[in-house]
Amino acid sequence: MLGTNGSEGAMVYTTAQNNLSLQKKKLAQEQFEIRLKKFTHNRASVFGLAVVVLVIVLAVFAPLIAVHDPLAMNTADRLKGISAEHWFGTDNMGRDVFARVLYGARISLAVGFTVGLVSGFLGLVIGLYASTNALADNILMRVCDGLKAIPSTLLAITMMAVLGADIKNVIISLIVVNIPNMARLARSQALVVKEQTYIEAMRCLGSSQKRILWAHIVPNILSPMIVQMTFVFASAIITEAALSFLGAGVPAPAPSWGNILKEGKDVIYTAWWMILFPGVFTALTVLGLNLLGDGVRDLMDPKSN
Amino acid sequence: MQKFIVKRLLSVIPVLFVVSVVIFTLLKMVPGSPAATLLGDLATADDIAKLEEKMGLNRPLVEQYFIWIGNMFHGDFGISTAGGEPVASMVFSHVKPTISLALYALVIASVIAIPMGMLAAKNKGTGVDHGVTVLSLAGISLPSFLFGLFLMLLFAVKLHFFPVSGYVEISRGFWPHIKSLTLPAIALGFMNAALMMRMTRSAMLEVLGSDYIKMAKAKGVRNFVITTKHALRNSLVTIITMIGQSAVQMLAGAAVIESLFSIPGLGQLMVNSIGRRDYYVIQAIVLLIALFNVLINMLVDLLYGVADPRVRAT
Amino acid sequence: MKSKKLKRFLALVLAAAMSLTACSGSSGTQSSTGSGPASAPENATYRETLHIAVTQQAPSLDLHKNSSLIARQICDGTVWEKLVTLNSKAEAVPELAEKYEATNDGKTLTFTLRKGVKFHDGSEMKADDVVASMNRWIEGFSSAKTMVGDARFTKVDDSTVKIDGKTSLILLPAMIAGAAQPASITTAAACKNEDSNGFLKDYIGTGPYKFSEWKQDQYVKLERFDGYVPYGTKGTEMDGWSGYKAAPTKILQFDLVADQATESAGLEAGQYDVAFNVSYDDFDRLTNNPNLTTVSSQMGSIAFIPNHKQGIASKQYFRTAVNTALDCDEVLRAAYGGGYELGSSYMDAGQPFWKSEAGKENYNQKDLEKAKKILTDNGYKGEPFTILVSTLNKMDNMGIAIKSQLEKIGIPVKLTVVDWATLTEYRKDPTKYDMYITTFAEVPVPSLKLYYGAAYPGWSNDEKLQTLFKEMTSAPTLEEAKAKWDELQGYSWEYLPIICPGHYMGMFAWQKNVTGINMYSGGPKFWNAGIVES
Repeated sequence: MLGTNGSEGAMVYTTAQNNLSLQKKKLAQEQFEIRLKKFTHNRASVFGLAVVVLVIVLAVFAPLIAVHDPLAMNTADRLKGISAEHWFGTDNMGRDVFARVLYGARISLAVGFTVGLVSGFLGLVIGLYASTNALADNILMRVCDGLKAIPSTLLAITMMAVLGADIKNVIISLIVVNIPNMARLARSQALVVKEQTYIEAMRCLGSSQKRILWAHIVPNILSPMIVQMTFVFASAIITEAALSFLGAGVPAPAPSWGNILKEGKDVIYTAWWMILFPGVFTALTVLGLNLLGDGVRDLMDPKSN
Repeated sequence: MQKFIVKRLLSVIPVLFVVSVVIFTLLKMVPGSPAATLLGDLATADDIAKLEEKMGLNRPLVEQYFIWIGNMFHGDFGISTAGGEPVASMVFSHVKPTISLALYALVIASVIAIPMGMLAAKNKGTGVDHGVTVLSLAGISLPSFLFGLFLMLLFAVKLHFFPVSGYVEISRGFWPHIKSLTLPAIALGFMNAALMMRMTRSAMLEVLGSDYIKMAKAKGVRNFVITTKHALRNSLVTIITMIGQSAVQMLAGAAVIESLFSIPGLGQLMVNSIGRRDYYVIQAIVLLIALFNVLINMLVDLLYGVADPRVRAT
Repeated sequence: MKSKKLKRFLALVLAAAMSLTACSGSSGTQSSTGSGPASAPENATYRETLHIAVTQQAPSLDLHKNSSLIARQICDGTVWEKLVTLNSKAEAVPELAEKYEATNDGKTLTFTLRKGVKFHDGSEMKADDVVASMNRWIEGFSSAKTMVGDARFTKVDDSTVKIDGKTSLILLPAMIAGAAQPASITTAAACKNEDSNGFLKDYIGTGPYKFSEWKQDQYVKLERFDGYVPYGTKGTEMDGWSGYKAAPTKILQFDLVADQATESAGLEAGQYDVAFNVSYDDFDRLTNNPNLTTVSSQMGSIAFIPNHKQGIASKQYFRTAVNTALDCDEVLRAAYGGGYELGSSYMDAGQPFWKSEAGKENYNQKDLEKAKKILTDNGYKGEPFTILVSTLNKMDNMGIAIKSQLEKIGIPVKLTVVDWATLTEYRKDPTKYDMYITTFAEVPVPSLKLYYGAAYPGWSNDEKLQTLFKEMTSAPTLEEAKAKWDELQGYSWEYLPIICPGHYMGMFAWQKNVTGINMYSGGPKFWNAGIVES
């Protein structure tokens, strides 16, 4: 754990107060460079990074790449196979699947990213404060246990039924589903760090609790949180697809990989392209994110040195 | 040990309380009424209102909550709006397919994952290891319903190895039962196998890297004995936890696979019940799964003691 | 009863019944398919179980209280029978009644019951059972209640029942024979034995099959009733729903397969003998399969119901503009693939008597320029238009198509996509939408078109519309009623209580070796169906 402290310190100690921390910073810098080298040598992680970057680029420049409007329908042309005009064929409403997959990337990535980020942040805050106060800890953790005990698919579907079909609500539902795990992780990590002697020392020196929490504990628990957030990012993309499959995902007509797959499933015998292309995109993106997550974990975990 | 069990059992109560409040409140906020879905499209507003009164849906929320909880203590879980069947018998009949499916998937996952994870750990850095890593990542990255669809298309429609869908009860023969569950179990087990493979690998690596294994190696203990007797035994704790968690996850998360393969399990019942606003059924299932969840976690803790003597002391 | 009057009455019933749910379809499947038991060799052995895949589950099998199509498809005529049923000419003909008569004024109907008919519990059908069943049906079925008012069935003697109405009840036999909530006859005791929600606990009928088992989300199993007392002559063909039911198959099992792709694949793999509601996108493939027979038939009509109470759609010009712009072909294809038929008639093809061309010049105009002009002429300022639509049966795809069409004439459309149960709640609230999308199963007479009710969500509380509707329902003869209906439908295409873009089809498929399927209305029936074992 001390090692983790070192590597993260480089980013957080903006106002170095003494020689020790300066030295530490240097050391951390070196270590970081070593690990970065390691990361780039790990072909899997680089591949993951490349895939994720590629998908992001495709999503961002979707309007430039896709000739067709993802919403423009022409039912006379429904379920047409691959052609020069429609690279990925057309869907059950005669829309261009290529355009829908690219624009769908925007939505699926946005859903995944937001869910990862926000549930990570909220989990962090909840976990941190739970670690400081026994009463709060009890209440928050019981609520988290309760939420965790409810099957996540069911919880998300029910919340969608309450909130109404909307991208925003898909995100909210998935965040709620993911917070308990994040909070648990943050709490357990924070409890470990709190026991470290230097934190004890700071407390004795009279540092405020807020400062201890945010300036010292957070940096030390950030790396497992970030790794976990990558995995939540990936799993949120899958969960969104599963929700769409059950009819509670991103509502039509906006394309998301999940709802393209769902519509494709109904015509799988006639229009394999509606399953294959968004399916491959989904799988590759999730694969890329997982590889990236693994890479980042190795990068940050001193044990793997 | 007894004290530990009692303590763990008591800790179930607050969890179940939170679960019951959350799900009850959420369901009451969902628009749409069970009476309306039950009576169908030709019913008048008056008919619907009358049935709602009969069902007690017009009472204050808090009162409804306590009536539900109170009735449960008397063993009355309410009546489903689907066919008027008592909720308990309905849940019971749906839990069997899910348990069969989850067990089967778990067996498939464990049989694939644990040996492969061990193999990868033993041959760290080699092609075998990379192969296993890629396979496990593929498993995690492939949504289960997509995998299920591909399996269905290939093995049922094209090759006729398995029935496309539907569920055969075990009372109608063990093999037909297994046959009807094979494709969904593979689809469901694949992702869990992937997770298990990863965790087995890392747990084994950790153990293999420990001093006592090095010591054993130095003493000239055969490799096979090291892997099976020492390393596997000591990674068992992690593996048991993982299997336990997978079991809970499968019980709860089989909804998509169940609806794809038309298996009348808990997951499908859950999703259908939301569609028909069958409150009592959803509440009962959620409580049941929460209970499973807590109990399996407890069982895992107890198994720790069996697998790892160090834990037994506490 | 004077024979002249009776003749006139029967003619009326006949005409009314003609309007009933006859099945028609693009593929012309009016008659029963398969050759029926008559052509099967004498003493042929039939396979014990027929597996029929269905995609939906009934909320309840209590047909008195629920209009679920699937419950009717499974149980009507198999488990339960009615006093009268429909023959292939859509006439109401006796089934459990031996005969029925009406008084001159049509206010009193008397039914003479067949003797010796056995219920599944072994008891004999008596007037008490019929009275209890018919009255329970009236209580549970709002349309029947509206027709008969306070009148109820009473017992005359053990084998005679009657009903005395304040107004003419000449349409009642037609309704008994073919309504969406069938007037099933069960025992008086079963009528009283209800669960806490008021639904039947025991499913006891007089039909050739008795209810055996209902496994939720899995199957409904019916088993041959050996004490069945058939009507008609053995060996004759069925005539519509009427005639001799041989029940050659011991067990009819309706397997629930929620997923249509799975269902079609199961049919092709031979796992199911019959499949209900196959997807349009699988239909061509199934039709080309040499082992399968496929049939499609019109099942009902689609309705876009504007909110006439408040908001932008309560303005006549706006509704007219929307209707002028719509390309119905495009909208329907988005949701149904090819499983639909265009047509401006509010009544479905199964009711040829009521089919009307009135107002068709306003149907499916696809005239964007004209629509735009209507909007600008009336000072439309780009107010948003909210369409409420459910994901049930891909109806949301129609919403998407409408949205894309209306945005071409400058109407900003907001889609509210919800599940069906939520839609039934939201549509009651006029602040929640400007138009919602739903479908209506075919009805025997236009007086059953719910959306003409001023209180029905959509609130077509227009004076002229309501007057025309009343004049139609109280018309003394069917011809006059039809004339009024033409006038009403013509006006409807101007006022737009609903926009009816067309009619949806039901698609069915079965193995070629299945004989005796009765394909008449609302889907196949299986009382003479079976597979001869070779």
